[in-house]
Amino acid sequence: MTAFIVPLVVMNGFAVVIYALIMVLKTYVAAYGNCSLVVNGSRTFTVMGGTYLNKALFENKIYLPSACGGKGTCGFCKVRVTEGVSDPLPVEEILINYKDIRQGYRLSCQTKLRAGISIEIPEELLSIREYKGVVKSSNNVTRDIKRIGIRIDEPKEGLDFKSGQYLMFKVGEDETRAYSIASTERRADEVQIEVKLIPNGLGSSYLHSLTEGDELTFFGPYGQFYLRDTSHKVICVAGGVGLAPMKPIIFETLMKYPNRDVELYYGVRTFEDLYDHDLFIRLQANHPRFHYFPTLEQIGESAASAYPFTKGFVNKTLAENLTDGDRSEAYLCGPPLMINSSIQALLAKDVPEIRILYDKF
Amino acid sequence: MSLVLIVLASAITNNIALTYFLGMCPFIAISKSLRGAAGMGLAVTVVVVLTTVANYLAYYLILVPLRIEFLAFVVFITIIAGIVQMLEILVERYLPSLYGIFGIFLPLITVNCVILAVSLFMILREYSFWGTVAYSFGSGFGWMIAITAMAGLRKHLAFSAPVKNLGDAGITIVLAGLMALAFLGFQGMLA
Repeated sequence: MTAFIVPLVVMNGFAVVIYALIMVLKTYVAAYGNCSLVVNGSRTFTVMGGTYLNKALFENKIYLPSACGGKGTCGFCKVRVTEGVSDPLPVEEILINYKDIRQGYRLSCQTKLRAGISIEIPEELLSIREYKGVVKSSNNVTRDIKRIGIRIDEPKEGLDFKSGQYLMFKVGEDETRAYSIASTERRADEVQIEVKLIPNGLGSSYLHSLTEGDELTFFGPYGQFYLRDTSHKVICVAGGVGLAPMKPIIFETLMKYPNRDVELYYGVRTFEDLYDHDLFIRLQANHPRFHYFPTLEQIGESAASAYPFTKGFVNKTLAENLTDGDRSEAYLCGPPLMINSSIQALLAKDVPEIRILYDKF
Repeated sequence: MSLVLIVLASAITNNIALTYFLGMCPFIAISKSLRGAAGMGLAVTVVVVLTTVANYLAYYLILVPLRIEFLAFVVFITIIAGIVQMLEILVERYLPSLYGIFGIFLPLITVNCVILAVSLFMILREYSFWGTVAYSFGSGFGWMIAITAMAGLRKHLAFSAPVKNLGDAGITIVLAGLMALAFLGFQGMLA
C-alpha cells in the first residue's frame, strides 16, 4: 500500500510547495504599488504597477489599436515613452525601426509599468471611443465571408469615420480583432463589416457565430489608411475580403468628387470567392467615372460565360490596364504577397511611392 | 583540484552543446545576435546551477531515503519549472537591468534540454555536492561559450554567400559540426 502512497504524497508535496512559493512571490514581490501615468503631458492617471501599459490605458478609456491582442506581433500599439523608458525587447527591435527605438518608441503591450511613466500618443487616438451595438443582419456573401450589419446603440451620436478606416471588435475577455468598415452608405447609426472565416480563428469564429439581435462591443475608428482629400485618380487594389474598405472609398469618391476617376482592381481565387460583383457591374454602367477590373486566379466554365474576367493575379491586370499612373493615388488592401507584387506594378506605372497606401492582413 | 578539473572538463572537453548536442533549439534560434546569445547563455548558466543544486538536494535528501528514485524525472521537471518562474519574478522586481538582459529568455529555458540533462547526468556520474555545483556551472558556462562563439561566427555569415539551399539554419548546423570538431581538439588537454 505504501508503495503507492509515498510517491503520490511526495509528488503532490513538491507541486504544492512550489506552487505556494510562487503564489507568495506573486503576492508580495510582484506587487509594485501605484504608479503615475502621464499621457501627452496633460492627463495624469494613477494605475496599479505590474500591469501592462496597454491594459492601463484601456482601463482609462484610451483605446490603442491592436490586431494581435497584446501578443507583440502586430506592432500597432506602439507609443513614444518620454520618461521612464526601458531597454527595448527583442520583439520591439523587430517591429519598430532603429530610429524610432532611439526616440523612445515602445510597444505598449510589452511595456510593464514598474514606476512612473510619461508617454506621447497621437492626438487622434484620444478621440477613439467605445461603441455598443446590436447585430442587425448577418449574411453569407461567399462560402466563407459573412457581411455583418451593426446598429449602433451607444453612444447616441453614433460613429463618424473616414473611408478606409477600421474598427477593433471585442472578441473575448482581453482579445480584440480589427475589421475594416465596409459600409456603402454613410450612416452614423449603422455600420457594416465583412468577415472571412479563418479555421480556428478567434475573431472570425466569434463574429460568424453571431445572429440577429446579439450585442457586441467595438472601438474605433482607427487607421491612417483612408481616402485623401486630393484631386488624383483613385486606384483601389483589393484581394479577397480586402474589398471591404474599398467600398466606402469608392462611394465617397463618386459622391463627393465630381472630377475624380475610380478604378477597382479586384482579385480573388475562383468565381465562387467573388462577391459584390453585380454591384460593381451596375455601378460601372451608371457611373462613367468608375471602372471595374475583376481578376480570377482560376477561371471555370461558369465564370468564363459570366463576365470577361482576366486570368492571373492583380498585378498583371494592373500592368495591362493602368494609365496615368503619375496622376493617381493607390489604396491597397489584401494579403501581403498580393500587396507587394501590386506595389511593384504601381511603381512601374510611375505612381509616386508616397501616394501608395496599403493595409496588409 | 578535482573541482577545477570538473569545471574545465564540462565546459571545454565535454562541452554540453558541442559534444552532446543538447539544447540545440535555442542554440540555433537565439544565436543570431551576440547580445541575445550572451543573455541566453547567462540565463542558462544561472538556471542550470540553481536547478541542479535544488534537484541534487531533492534527490539525495528525499527521493533516495524513501527509495522512490523513479520519480526523478517528474520531480526534476516540476522543480525546474517552479524555479524558473520564481527567478523571473525576483529578477524582474529587484534587478531590472539584469531582467532586460536575460529575463525575457527565462520562460524559454524551462524547455531547454541542457537543464534537465545536467540534472540527470549528475546522478549518473555520482558527483558529490560540490562536484555537482562545479559540474553544473561548467556545463552552463560551456553552453554559453558555444552559443556566443556561434553568434560571433553567424555575424560573419551575413557577408558570405553559402549554398542557397542550405539557408540560414542549414549552414548553422554545418558550422556547429565544425565547431564540435574544433572542440574535439581539447580532448587531449585533460586526459
